[in-house]
Amino acid sequence: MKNAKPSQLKRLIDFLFSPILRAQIVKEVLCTLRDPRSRMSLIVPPILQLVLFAFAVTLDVTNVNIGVLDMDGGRYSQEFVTTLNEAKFVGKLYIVHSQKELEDQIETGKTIASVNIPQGFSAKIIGGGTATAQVIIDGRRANSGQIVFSYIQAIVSNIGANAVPANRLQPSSIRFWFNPSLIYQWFTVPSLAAVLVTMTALGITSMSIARERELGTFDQLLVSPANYVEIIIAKTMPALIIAPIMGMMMVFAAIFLFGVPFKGNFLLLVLCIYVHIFAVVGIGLIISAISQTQQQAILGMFTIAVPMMLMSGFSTPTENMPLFMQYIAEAIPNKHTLLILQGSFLKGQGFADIFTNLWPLIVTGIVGLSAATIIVRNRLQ
Amino acid sequence: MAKFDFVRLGALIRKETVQMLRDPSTILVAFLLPVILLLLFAFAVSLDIKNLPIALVRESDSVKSQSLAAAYQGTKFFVVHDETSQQKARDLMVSGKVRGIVTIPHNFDARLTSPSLGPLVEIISDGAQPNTARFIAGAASSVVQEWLAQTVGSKNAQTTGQQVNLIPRYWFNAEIESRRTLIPGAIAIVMTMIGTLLTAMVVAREWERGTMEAIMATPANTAEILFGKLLPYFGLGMMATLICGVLATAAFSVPLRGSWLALMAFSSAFLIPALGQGLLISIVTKNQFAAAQLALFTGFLPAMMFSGFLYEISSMPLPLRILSQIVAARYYVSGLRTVFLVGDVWKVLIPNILYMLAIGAFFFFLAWRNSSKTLDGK
Amino acid sequence: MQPLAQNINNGNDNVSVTFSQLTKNFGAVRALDNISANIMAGRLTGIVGPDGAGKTTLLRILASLLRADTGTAKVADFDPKTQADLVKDNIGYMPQRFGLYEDLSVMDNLVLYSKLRKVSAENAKRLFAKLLDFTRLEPFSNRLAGALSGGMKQKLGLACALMGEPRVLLLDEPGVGVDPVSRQELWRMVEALTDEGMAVVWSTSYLDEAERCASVILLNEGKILFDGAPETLTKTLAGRSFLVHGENRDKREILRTALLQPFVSDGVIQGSAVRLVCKHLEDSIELKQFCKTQKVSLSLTEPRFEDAFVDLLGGGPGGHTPLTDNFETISLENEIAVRCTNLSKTFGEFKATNDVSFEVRRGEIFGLLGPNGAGKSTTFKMLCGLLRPTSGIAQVAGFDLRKATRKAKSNLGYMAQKFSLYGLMSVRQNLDFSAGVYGLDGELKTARINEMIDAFHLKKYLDFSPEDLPLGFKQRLALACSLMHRPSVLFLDEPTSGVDPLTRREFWNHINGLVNKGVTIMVTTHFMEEAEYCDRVAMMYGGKLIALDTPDGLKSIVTSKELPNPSMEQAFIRLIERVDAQNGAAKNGEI
Repeated sequence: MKNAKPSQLKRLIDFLFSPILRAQIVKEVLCTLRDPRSRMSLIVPPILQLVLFAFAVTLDVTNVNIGVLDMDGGRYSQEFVTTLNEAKFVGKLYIVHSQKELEDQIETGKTIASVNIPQGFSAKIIGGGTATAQVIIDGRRANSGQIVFSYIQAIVSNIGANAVPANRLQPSSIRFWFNPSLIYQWFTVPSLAAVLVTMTALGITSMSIARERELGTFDQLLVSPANYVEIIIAKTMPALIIAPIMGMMMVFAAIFLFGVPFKGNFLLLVLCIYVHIFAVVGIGLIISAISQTQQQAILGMFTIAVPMMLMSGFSTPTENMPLFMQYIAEAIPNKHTLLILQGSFLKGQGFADIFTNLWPLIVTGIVGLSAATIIVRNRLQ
Repeated sequence: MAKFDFVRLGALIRKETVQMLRDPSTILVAFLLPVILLLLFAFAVSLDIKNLPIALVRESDSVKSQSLAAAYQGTKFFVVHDETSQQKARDLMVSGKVRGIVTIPHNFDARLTSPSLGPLVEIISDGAQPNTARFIAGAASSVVQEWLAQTVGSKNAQTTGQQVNLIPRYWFNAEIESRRTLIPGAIAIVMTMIGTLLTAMVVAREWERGTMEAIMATPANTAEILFGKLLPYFGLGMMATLICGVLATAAFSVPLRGSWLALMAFSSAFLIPALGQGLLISIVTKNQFAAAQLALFTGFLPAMMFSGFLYEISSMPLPLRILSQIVAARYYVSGLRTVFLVGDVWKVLIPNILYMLAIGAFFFFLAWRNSSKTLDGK
Repeated sequence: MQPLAQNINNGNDNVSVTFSQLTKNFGAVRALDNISANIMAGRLTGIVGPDGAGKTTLLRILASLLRADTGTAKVADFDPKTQADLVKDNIGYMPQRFGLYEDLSVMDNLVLYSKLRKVSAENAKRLFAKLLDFTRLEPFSNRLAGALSGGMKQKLGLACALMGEPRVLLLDEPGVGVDPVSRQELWRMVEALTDEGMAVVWSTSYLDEAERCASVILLNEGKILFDGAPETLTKTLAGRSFLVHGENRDKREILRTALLQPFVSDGVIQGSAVRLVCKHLEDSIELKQFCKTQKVSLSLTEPRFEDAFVDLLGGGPGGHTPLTDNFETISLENEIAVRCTNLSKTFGEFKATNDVSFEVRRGEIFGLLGPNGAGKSTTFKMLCGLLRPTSGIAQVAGFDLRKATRKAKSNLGYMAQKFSLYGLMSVRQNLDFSAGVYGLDGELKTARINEMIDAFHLKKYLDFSPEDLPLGFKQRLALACSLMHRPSVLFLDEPTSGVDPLTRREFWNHINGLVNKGVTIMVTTHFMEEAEYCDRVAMMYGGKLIALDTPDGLKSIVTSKELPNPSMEQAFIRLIERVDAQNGAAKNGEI
């Protein structure tokens, strides 16, 4: 018995460090880095995504146009209008003089919301009662409209503060934990690390076999003594080397460029990123094995990546999806990694909490790689 | 330059149509993908808040506090976890199991009459996801306010704490279903895929397979060759619009308040810049892979990001706002939303059509300039 | 039968195409260098030369698909540069991959081209009938073009090119990768066309095709080496071509020794004999002397076009190869290097390979021949481990490919048709990879790599990408990569298609050196010349092995009164025809 064990271990080490495997790994990394096509996909998307998501694309609402029809003209309505005009989120304030004008502006999309202040507005407030005003919102931009409405509501809550005794009822107090000022980049930039890692790992692995097929070098590999396990290990290597770098880049960008606080365990995060990559490469390998050309591979990658992104919680919360979709989303690595990132950056989660989101990644990885192994082996005939 | 000939054009169109129908990519991009995308945008990408888990810590035993707690249980926004301790609730929020904590303090009844004791409820929401956090805060506080209005009864500013009551009216989308705003956007993406991505790849493929060379050796002139390729895809795009429109109205209950004619006419105007872009890409790259990459980056990505269907254009920095003005999808989305949710508002549709046609003309012009009658462009 | 060509003056002195001082550069590469020639109507003109000679560029310029940088041309009386449309109206052009729409049926393709050429409806009907009959594609008019065999695609491509009833027909390498039987069909059709007065231009890299043309333009590196009737060139070598037979001598050894002689300018294996070409007419005396000493018999023979081409290029390379100096002689357990037993492969319903068995001895050069779709590539792939057999056993060096895969694969080397080198890595990195992936490590690896670099003179190209290498060096690199692990069996898949004769000879010199050290060679080719280099040839047709013998043996099977001295190509064709005759007429149209 004692003799059996060392030889098993020795065999494993021999296998892992064999020149056959090494030669393949070197080849994979070189080809990935030197291929101008994959190089472009490695450099352009990160920069693009960083710029777009960090600076531009946001579900926040600013610089929108509001219309206002002041039929009152009293003290408090004027206060209302002035405050609106000075509000940060308002781009242009259109003061209109008829209901028709107000409605036209909404219809043509000139304004996203318009306020109709009726006569008697200020008088009501002075009398200590509750005045009403109507806000017409463009339902075609419902989400932004809702946010705009809440902004306007925040504005009116301060109107006439001095008309009412100081001691007025406060229905609720609101605090935001982990991100008190609700800075949107504190959410987007760390999440981009997951997006980037996924796109890189998926992109690299899904092209790998297809590229060799197209160039004709795959046959040369198949006649060599390399077996399918080595081929799979070698093809996951470039992703395992390059993708974490991209992820780390984004993590550092978040911490140092955007000042996102990092309260969790850094090493644990790195481990999680690696597990995430494992979960993703299996999918990439499957795409690569079933594609005959690189163009098919990129389309396949795209068909998988877009639903993945949309259902991962990056653009909209997963809880908004119907239940059956939420179950499907559990298989998406990004969904869990996003939570791990939020947990590590902003919440300072401990191992137990991180693990809740880590084990689905492990399972997905095992299932994915096993499926990939079977498919690659079958395709190698 | 050989004179334009309709017989030749007809033959080329027929050839392209047969090829198109037999090509698996066509089935994938023109039929499967739209269905998937529409499904995704109908269900997966939803901005309608519902079922968000929150913790409710009720420190008071009073009847009124129970009534308020019941109000929270009753809303569709939240799935309420009753907790007894603050600490437990906080742990839940750290581990992400709840997105917000609503605390009803022990002296709740007292606070109703003596505001100096503090706010009625404390709302803490998870800022790690800012958009959700904002909604939770808003929804949670509106529950209190509605409860106040119903139970306390009077509209006295003193007791309700509100001097101004804002009444929202969401025009064109009274139910505030985000699906109704997203599906038109999804249609724009589908059309971009067909018009730009599919076309780019298909024409590039002819170069790669060598059939372009054989056709160029015949008297067919460049215009016939190009139109012969584009017109079938134009037809395919129109059919896809019809399919999407039917799906949207029948399966996803998005109302079509405008006319089908307007929808089709407007969509055909979008196909012009989309096809033009696809054509230009294929001429410039002559290689399927590069064409696919370029189409994804310059067609699909802008349609997702800069068309305004998901992310508000006005909230973007100036350079990107300017960029969005040359993204044809932007005008398409705006017009689509109007046709579906408002009606045939030509005041809105016509300027958008003109913008799209202008962009289309630009692309076609560039394509024309770059297409040569020789294989190496000299 | 009504002619397919337009009614032209049937005078043989009619110049159909002419070009003068044509030059075309692609960046820094000069594809055509100041060339001029005339092409006559009613004749088959071959544009002959290896890959990269400029053939396709010339054809494209004549078809108005490219514009020459300098020089003038006239095609059917029109200038391709300024009167492109008129040129296109009067020519038919078939590009290298036939220009067919694979998703469309045969008829659809024909209809498309007829409309593109504005053939009127009545004319179209007549034309279709004629063309379908001419190409024997009538029974397949509804089949998708993609489902046709290579030979049929070729014929369809020709039919489409003929749609406009052109005066000039330009065919770009129509015979490439197609077996001799299908090529025969094409010749038949083309000869009928020239009889009607059409000028047909056929570009090819197969030198034996050149001999069948009425007129040949020999291109090499953008320059015209010869322009005229092929016999004219061949005749210049009269009296200088010989065949040497050695009864008990290894023919390759004879070749090696002969090539060392100063008076021998070129030599190749031809069946069981060695073909030698002397440098000068007078050298025949020395040659006779040499053969006496060597105790081999000498006979004068008719020169071939290829002999003349090589002579034009300055003679072939020497016989020695430094490659195998350091190789150990291979020895195998039971002297059988490759064996297949009842090997079969089925794809769905289609039996690609049907119960094939043969043995290859150590040190043999074994050729696998057959028309496209005959099962030869499938069998080849099963023998080197690229495909898994449906049933039967495939063994290399005594190891079953399925059971002892790693051992079997470590004993075989493979060189693919278009070399399959990693363009994204440098030459050195390619060598590194090939060594490593076969398990070489450390000092041994370095030593072997350096050996290859020296043997093939790769030193100055080490940092280049293989794509930037000249064709000859690419071939050397591919060979080096396949030999690094000293395999006992080397598989060559159409190793010299499109390659110029000198490079081909050099390549086979290396191969002969390997064979000398006991390496077994498995080769598949469409090039009948190469079949002659083999010790034994297996002919496959319809998935079955129909003949297995030495090249001379195969020729003797088909020798008859009408055909006393068949060439390898004729043997090939006759053997196929015999099988067809035996199986009835069913298979006739399938070629």
